[in-house]
Amino acid sequence: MTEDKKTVLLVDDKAGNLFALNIILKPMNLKIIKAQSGQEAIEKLRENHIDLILLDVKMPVMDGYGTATCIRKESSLCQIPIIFVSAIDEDSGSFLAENNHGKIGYVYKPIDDQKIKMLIKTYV
Amino acid sequence: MFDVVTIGSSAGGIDACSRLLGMLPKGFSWPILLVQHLHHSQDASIVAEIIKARTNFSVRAARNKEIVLSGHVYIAPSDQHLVVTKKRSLSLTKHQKVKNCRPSIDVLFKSASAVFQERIIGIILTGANDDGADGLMAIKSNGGFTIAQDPKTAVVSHMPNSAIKKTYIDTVLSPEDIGRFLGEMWEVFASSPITRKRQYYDRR
Repeated sequence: MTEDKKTVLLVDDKAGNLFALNIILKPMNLKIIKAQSGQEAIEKLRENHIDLILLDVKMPVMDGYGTATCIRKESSLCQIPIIFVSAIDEDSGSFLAENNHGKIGYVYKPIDDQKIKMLIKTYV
Repeated sequence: MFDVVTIGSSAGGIDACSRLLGMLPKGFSWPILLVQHLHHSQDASIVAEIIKARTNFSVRAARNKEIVLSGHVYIAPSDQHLVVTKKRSLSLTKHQKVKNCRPSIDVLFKSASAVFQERIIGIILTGANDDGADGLMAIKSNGGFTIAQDPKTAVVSHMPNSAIKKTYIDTVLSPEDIGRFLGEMWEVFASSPITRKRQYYDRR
C-alpha cells in the first residue's frame, strides 16, 4: 500500500530549532526525520525516501550551502527540493550562482509559519 | 507559537534559575512566571535581586492584578499563590496550601495552562517534593511544551523525577541547556513583528 504521508528532513545543529520547526509542521501530517549536521543529513537521505529538505544555513563543520552542494552532486538526491532556513543577513549568493537548477526556497528566522507551510505545500 | 514560560523550582532552585535565565539571548521576549518555594519569612524581592544580578532581564516579585509584559520575569511572593487570570493578568491569593506549598507550582501551572492552552512552556527544576508534577501534566494535556531539569544535574532530584514519572516530558536537560534550548526555540518563532505585537497583553 502506498504511504500518503510525505517525508520531510529537518536539518539543524540546534535542538531547540528542530523542536520549534517540528511544532510548526505538526498540523501538516508529515513524517518528520531530523538530522543535527550536514553529514548526518546526507546519511539520512541515503537511508530514507525524503520528499523535502528543510536545511539550516548556519551549522558548524559543513554549513547548509555546503550540505546542499553535496546533495545536488548525488544523482539519486539531486531532485529533492530544499528550503533553506536562515537568518536574514546570511549570504546565499555563491550557492545560488552555482546551483541554478532544482527546487530551492528560502524562509527566514523568525519563521512566518504560514509562509513556510505554503512553501512546503508547493513542494510536496 | 508560545506566549509565556512558566518555571517551578524548590531546593537549589535560585541557583538553577539563575543559570537557566543567564543563558537566554538578549531580547528574549517571552514573559517568564516563576514559582520558587520560599520560607514564609523570605522575601521574593531579594530572590529577584539575586537572579537579576546574573541575567539581562527585568526580574521582580509579582504584584496583584498586574499585566504580564514581554521580557519580564515575575516571581511569586512568599506565602501567596501566583495565579494567571482569564484576562492574562496576575493574581496573588492566600488560598489553602497545595502539597503543603504556598506558593504552589501546580497552582501556577494549572491556571496558566487553562488560559494559554498550547501556547505555554512549563519547566520543572530541582526540588524535594512533587509539587509541579500535576501542573506539568495539565500543560501537556492542553498541548503545551514540557521541560524537566535532568535529575542528575539537580541539587535535589525528587521534583523533576516526580514530573518525569507522572507525565510526558518533551525534553530533559541541565539548567544551562534549558536556557540555550529556549533561546533556540525563541529564535525560530518569536521575534517576528506579528508575535511581538501579541506579547503586549490586554491593554484594553
